[in-house]
Amino acid sequence: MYESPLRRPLITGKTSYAKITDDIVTPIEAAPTKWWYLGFAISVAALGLWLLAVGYLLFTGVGVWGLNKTVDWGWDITNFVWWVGIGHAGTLISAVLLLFRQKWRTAVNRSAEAMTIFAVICAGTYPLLHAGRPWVIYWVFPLPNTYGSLWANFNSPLLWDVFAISTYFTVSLVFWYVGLIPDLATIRDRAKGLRKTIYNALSFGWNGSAKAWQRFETVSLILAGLATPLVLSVHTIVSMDFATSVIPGWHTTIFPPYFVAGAVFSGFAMVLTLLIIMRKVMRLEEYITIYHIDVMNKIILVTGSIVGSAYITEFFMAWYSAVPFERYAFMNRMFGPYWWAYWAMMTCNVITPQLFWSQKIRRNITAVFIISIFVNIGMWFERFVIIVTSLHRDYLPSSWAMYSPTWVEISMFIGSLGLFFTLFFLFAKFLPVIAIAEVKSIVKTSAEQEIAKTAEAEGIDLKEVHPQIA
Amino acid sequence: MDIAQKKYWRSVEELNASPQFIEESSKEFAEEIPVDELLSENSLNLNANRRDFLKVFGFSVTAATLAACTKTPVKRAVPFVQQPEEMSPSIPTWYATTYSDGYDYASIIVKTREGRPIKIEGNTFSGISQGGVNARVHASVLGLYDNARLQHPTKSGKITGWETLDSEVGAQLAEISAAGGAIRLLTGSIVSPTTKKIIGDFKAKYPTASHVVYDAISQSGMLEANKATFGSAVLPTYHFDKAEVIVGIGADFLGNWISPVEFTKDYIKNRKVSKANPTMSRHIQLETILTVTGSNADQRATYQASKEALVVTNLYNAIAALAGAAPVDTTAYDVAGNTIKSAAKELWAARGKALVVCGSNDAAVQTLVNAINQLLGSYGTTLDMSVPSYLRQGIDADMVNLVKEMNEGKVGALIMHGVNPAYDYHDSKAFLTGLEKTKLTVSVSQFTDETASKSKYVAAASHYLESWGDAEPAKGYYSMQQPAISPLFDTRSFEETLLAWTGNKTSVYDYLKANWKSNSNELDFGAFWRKALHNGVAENAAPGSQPAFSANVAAAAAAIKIESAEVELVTYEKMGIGNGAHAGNPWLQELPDPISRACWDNYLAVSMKYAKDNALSDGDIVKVEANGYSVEVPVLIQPGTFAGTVALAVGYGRTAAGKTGTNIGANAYPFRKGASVKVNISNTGLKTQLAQTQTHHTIEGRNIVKETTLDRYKENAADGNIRPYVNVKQEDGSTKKVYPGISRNAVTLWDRRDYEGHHWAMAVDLNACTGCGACVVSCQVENNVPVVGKEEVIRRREMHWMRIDRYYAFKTTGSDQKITKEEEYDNIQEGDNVEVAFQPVMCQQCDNAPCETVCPVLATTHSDEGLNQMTYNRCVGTRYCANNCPYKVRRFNWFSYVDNSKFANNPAQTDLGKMVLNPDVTVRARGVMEKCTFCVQRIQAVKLESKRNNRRPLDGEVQTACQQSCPSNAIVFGDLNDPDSAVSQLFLNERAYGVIEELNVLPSVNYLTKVRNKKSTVA
Repeated sequence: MYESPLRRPLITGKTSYAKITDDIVTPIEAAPTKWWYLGFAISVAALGLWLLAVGYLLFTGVGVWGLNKTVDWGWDITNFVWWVGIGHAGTLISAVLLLFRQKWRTAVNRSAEAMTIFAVICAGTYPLLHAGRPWVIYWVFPLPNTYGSLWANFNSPLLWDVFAISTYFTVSLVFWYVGLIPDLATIRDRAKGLRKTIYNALSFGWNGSAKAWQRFETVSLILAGLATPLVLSVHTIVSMDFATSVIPGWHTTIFPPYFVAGAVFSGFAMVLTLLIIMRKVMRLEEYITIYHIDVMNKIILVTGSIVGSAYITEFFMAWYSAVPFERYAFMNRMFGPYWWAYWAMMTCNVITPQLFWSQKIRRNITAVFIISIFVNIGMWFERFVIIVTSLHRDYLPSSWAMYSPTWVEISMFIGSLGLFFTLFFLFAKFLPVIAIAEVKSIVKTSAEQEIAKTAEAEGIDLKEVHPQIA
Repeated sequence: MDIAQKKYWRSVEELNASPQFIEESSKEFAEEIPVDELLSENSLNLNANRRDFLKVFGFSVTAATLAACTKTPVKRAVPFVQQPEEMSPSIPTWYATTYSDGYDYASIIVKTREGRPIKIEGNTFSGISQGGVNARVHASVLGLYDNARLQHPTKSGKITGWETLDSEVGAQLAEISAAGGAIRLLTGSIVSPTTKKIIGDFKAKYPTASHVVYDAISQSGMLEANKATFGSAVLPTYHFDKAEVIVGIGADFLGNWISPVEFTKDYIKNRKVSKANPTMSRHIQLETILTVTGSNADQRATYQASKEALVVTNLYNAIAALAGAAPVDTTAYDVAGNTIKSAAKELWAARGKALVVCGSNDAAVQTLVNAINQLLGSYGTTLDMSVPSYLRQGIDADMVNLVKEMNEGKVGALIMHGVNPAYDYHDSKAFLTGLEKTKLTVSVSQFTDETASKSKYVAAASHYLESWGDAEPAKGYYSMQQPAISPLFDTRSFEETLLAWTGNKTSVYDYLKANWKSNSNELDFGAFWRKALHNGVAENAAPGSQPAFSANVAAAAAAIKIESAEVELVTYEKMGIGNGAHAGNPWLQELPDPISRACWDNYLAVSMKYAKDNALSDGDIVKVEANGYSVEVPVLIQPGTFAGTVALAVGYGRTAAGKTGTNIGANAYPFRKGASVKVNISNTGLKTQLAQTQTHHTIEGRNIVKETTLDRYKENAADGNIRPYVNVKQEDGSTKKVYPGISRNAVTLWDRRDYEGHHWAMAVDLNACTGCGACVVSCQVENNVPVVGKEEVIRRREMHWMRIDRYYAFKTTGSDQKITKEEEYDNIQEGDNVEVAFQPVMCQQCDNAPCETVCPVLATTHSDEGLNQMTYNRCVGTRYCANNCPYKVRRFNWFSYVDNSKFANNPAQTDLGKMVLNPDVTVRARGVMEKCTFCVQRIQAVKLESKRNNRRPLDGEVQTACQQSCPSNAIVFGDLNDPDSAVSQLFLNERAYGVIEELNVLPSVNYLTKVRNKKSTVA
């Protein structure tokens, strides 16, 4: 397939199919590095803290958190929405970008999807554990029972949430695993002994035949088609948890698009945070190039600007509606007792991503890393601001109250990061972090050497069009 | 003997004694046991196959498992051998009785279920309490099941028997009496004629005995003044309902002053306005600290505590000037806005229908108050001396004398009942040293309290619900006290004990009945007695002519000495804890103060100015020192406090009040009488957190509590009540205003709800609610609402199903504008110019309930009678409903309050405390949501009863707990589907509105605008 030499190469350096396989599979075959052990140990320790906090929570009751009669959701749902948001980039990259034939996604989709799945797992722990009686939480499923009309409440956005999140998780998991099959077969083919048996089982007998590839492509496309609406639906429905309520600051029709943009925004930020470390540690600079980071930064810039406009729109609507409760809720966000959360959110989410208008910053790894962390923090605060500052001062001033987390909530948040990174470290050790087969599919078109070849044939000076790589 | 030869036979075979029978009868088993067969090779050869083995094995394992699973619960219920005639399981039995502890009085009815008293309501037959009950009386039922109760009589702290106690005490009394030693009977105010007769018998038996009445919070000043003025040391009965102008001077008559429930019932009769009768009394309150009474006043001004006498003398002079009487010699003084002078004019204009009450405990001041009322012609109209009240009888000097006598070693025996001077006497040290010098000390007490623990003998007293008695709170207003349960422990009532010591073997019941019979001229005493016990009251009050008035006002004014200090300390009583006798009651401890919304502690209430000047903020711990006594307490900034005054509540700082009440707050009693009014306050630099159920104090300019003034109301009954409407386009193109809150379901996106049977609703008159908090405790008792303790209240997790919101507004000087926003609150300098609004908030049972739509599992649903019902066992605890409730009335069970050891104060945690639980209401488990149900169990009971009688429930037949307990009848409950019901009528009232009804949630609770009888200028 012809690829214009004017396009940026997506794989830098001299590459070959064998080299790609070697680069990506070798870390799986080799013993883990001491850095891996260190990171994994810290993650597992944090996970241990999570187990401790959750054990105490289950044993004693939700009262171990700092919630009260006025603020009935705090860090629990903040973290839930934050994690779900983070889980948004993976499917967007693998499904939407697949449909749009964005080839750069091949380098990042595997780890982004893994991140999605782990983030959704982390998110899922919160609705389960925030319930007063988690042992009967299965009642939210419309299970047949002997009580006649006793059924779930289809009016409740929480119920929609259950369906949305579980569907999203299932489809993402299947999509991710289907994509893994050819790569697992590659590992299997190089492995011996027990390792071979395991990877053989995991690769579902992949034989690399043309028929297998054809079916693989079809399934990928179908799953991408299925997953695409989910990218929009999940956070739309999460936003309805708030938008359908009567609480000033929650009751807003702008929430669905604003939440989806925010989710993509935070998802890409988290992908960047992880990939910047991973490409360095696992020496994947040839696959995850500056160009990849640049493209993702542009997405952050767009979604960040959408989120910023949404904030301003909310304010305008609060003023324009002339509803005193609504006006108060927004003034309270800015100047009330939780002003610091609001301004942290504004700084991190509205101001910092605007720096990405500059290409220099977009391509400065250190700057990008710092900004991505800022966005992660900002998006956490966004959820905190929406949930806590709206609840703590609603209609009747007599019930106004303050909320602050206890050690249990803080431990559970740290612990959920531990859970996430534990899973991510295991993923990085035992599975290919880059989709080998997919990267190989673009070698013939988008590798640096191929682009150089085409340029030479067409008499184009590569130095002139791509000065930074030549 | 022939009988010995008689032989019985079992069968014909035995009779015949056939050989076969003889042989068989010698065998153990009638039939041959096939031993050989069993031991034969065939049967030993186990040829059961694998399947059979598994079947048998499977069955036995399953059977064993199932058998092991069913643990037979240990049930301790013992059925009646003979079912009492009036008692059927699950049907409550009501008894009328009387609560009287020398502090509170109420004629009550007691609900018993399966023999257990579980709820107290007011007795509407009573002319005194008129069906009203305050928070303390509501909570008193828990005192019956208090684990701290004394279960046996004790001697020197060790359990003893009644025989020992009676013989030893009897012997010593006889000995002391014979030796001429003084025997003193120390009690609180006793209103029971029969008890007084028994005391008389006791005094007759022991001639050296005398009776000393001691009230921790006495009306000694007024008693002495009345003795001087009218010749008898009694209190008058008050008729607030007949007063058109009321001036209160430091008398918290709606809170804790003498008989607050009676006063509230009367007061409110003249405070309810309607279009037909747009009048209400005018109430001016002059006081030092913000009280419930001051909060309800139309006009309020503050003065320094030590200037109280000056307020009275100046008021006297102002009225005397109008009446043409001679003024007394005094310093000219007036409170802010020349309120004394304007009040005098208003009082004079309404003479004959005016009333001045004063909380001072100074006889001279009360003499002047008597004189004011005499000038105003109040005696015989708003005040009645011909029907005196006996609710307070203690003269302070008597107690001082007794303590002196004790310290001089003159007292041989001291028998105490219903008093706790070791805690609440201002000089408790002197009392205790005196006690040590007293030979025989006996406490007749329910608890090993501060005093009982220092007495040699403690005669364990019964709870009032276990005892017989009677009461005469005011002349001719008799009420009966009958037990609702037999004594749970080895206890005796005070009367029983006294009878035993006088050597009278009669039971209290027989004595009581005989006493009544001897004083009765009823032809059929049996019928009268049954009726009196059934009704709980036997009233034959006959107002007569007023006793002659003679007062030396000049001498009284001359006797007044004013000593003031820059900062003065006043003590006051709280609505819940009162005098502190029931500090061990967790319901009362958790009842928030109506004004400060603080519970589980006392604190130094300081004015905003004082706090600003001394850089104090809420929770700062200060050391308060006066006359050599000091305490360390947290500060609470209380708007409405006079700038030079700080206030500390009594009733706290108990050192022996059971597990719940001990060491809560600091004891303020020693501050009550001292040589100097001077008080030193120093900041310790420490800080604590106060447990307040409300921390935001202003209404932020929101239209939540609507109010107007009487003058404006007369012009427009809907004044101040702007209701939301929508312009709806009509078919002819015109638009029409549609009020969703009035024509319910007029504007809706929802499916209309059809309420075919009933549509329950409630109306709350904000003009009537005084904020007293009786409803909060009543609701807690009725609905098994858990007690969560101080720490959880600090975390804003109290479980009360209904709360009373309190909002402050400040009048700025020189403008009609009121400050209602918290941000402006900090700029107020004085802060004593405060207006208070109370608003009881329970679940509003919205027709379009936001909570219902969001529950994922349908745990909260709408009933076809308009109730928003909560299915506890379906709740998974997402708390989404609580978030989405605009009124924030939902309460979550954060912990297992029934078995988590952190909540040991919760009555439901002990076997004894569990007895108080209402069996008709589920005790909620951990992790589920709960809220007000409109007392659905009461609705159901009435529906069943009316169905049995083949009729619809009558209007007013269903009474919610809050409604029934309300001393000001502020709450009306009923069926909106019945257009004639009181609640339907109130919903159509011009003053009715739903809180934040613009959300179109269609609350089933409507409030009636508060009307204040304000006067901008006084002619």
